[in-house]
Amino acid sequence: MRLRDIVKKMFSGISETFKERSAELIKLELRELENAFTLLVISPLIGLPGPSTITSLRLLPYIERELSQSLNVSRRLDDMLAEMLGYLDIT
Amino acid sequence: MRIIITVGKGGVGKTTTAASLGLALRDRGYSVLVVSLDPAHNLGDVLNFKSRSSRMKILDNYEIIEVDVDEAVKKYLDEVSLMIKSTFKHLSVLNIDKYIDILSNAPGVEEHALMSEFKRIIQENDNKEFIIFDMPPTGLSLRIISLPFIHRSWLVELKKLRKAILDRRRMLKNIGEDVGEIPVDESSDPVMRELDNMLKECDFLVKKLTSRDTVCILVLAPETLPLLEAERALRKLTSLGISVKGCVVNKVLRLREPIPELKSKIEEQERCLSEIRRTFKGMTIVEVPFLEQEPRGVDALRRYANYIDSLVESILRS
Ligand SMILES: Nc1ncnc2c1ncn2[C@@H]1O[C@H](COP(=O)(O)OP(=O)(O)OP(=O)(O)O)[C@@H](O)[C@H]1O
Ligand SMILES: [Mg+2]
Repeated sequence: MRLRDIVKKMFSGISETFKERSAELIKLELRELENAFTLLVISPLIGLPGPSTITSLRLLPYIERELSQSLNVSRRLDDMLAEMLGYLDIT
Repeated sequence: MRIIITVGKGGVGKTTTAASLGLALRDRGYSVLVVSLDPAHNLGDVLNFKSRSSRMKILDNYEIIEVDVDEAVKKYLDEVSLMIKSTFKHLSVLNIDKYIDILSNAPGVEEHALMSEFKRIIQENDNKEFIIFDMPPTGLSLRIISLPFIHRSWLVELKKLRKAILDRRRMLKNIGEDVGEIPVDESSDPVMRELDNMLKECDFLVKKLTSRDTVCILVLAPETLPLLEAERALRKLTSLGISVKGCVVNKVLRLREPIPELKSKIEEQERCLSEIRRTFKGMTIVEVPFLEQEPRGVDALRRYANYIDSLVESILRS
């Protein structure tokens, strides 16, 4: 195998892992943003200050998926911490 | 169409001022609608008008509306429930009516309902030249008036957050990740659409309230507490970008002979009057004396209007 090919292969390998890695980070970020959004939307319904109850009710039907995701996350909050530390390579 | 809003502490004379201002404008040939948004109405009483319906014609070109607040709350919640039912169609098991019933006692619903009445009334009475809103006492008034502004800034923040979410989803999709069946564009996201709808409703109100055609009139008595409230209202309204045109200092005691028992009262009054001239400098300030008889009925209100004539003129000039 010529050196060029080796280098090429090496780099493509790196960029693959980079891509995977950044995809995971974007996913994590996305989920955090979705959780924040969901929390803000439902806050008037659970007694926290926030936009009006009516705003909540009007948005609620469209965020079912995010809502159940957030509920899942809060159910396994300990896991999530481990998960995040895993992503950041701290453990 | 122009809007005038009277704001001030309980009992200072907001309703009297609103009714009399309306009469003065009507007598100058304008078509006028005076609306009481105060849950404790006395607009009809001030006009000595006995019939008890929500909309009453007092004279040609002079109508009044007393908004039934309970009815407004009910109407508002009905609208909301209809809207929710149409979106929660698939959740027929959810007993939404029960929930809506409970909502009628939720904090803030009264303000929302009154704001939505405010909107409905200005939309349905576009043919009037003046709509004058007689408001409840300062605190509630300011809460109602600031509602669309607060709501608006929330919606703007929610939109920013939603946009960040859609950006991430799109990024993932672009690098070939399977994001499933979720919306990735603003145009196809129902949440964004709903946020935009709500924003549009707020924008209408914010625009109306901050328009040059809308002015607030502060009503106060020459006493410390009403003055403090009026100053607070002025700061709040100005910070929202709502124009405060003038103030009516009502129930000013003018004694022919000094009365010893009223000496300190008169001193407080004079102190307040000079403070008022300082604080509301640049606005039209009018004084109405404490009248021997309560100014009620069309004739008495016309006499009251003589005292606030320069305010009427300055509204018409602007
Ligand atoms: N200049 C005046 N002289 C004497 N009485 C007055 C004067 N102005 C108003 N009043 C009387 O004071 C009372 C309160 O007036 P009004 O109802 O207009 O106040 P308001 O600010 O609308 O009160 P509320 O906060 O209860 O709605 C009424 O009985 C009214 O007739
Ligand atoms: Mg009143």
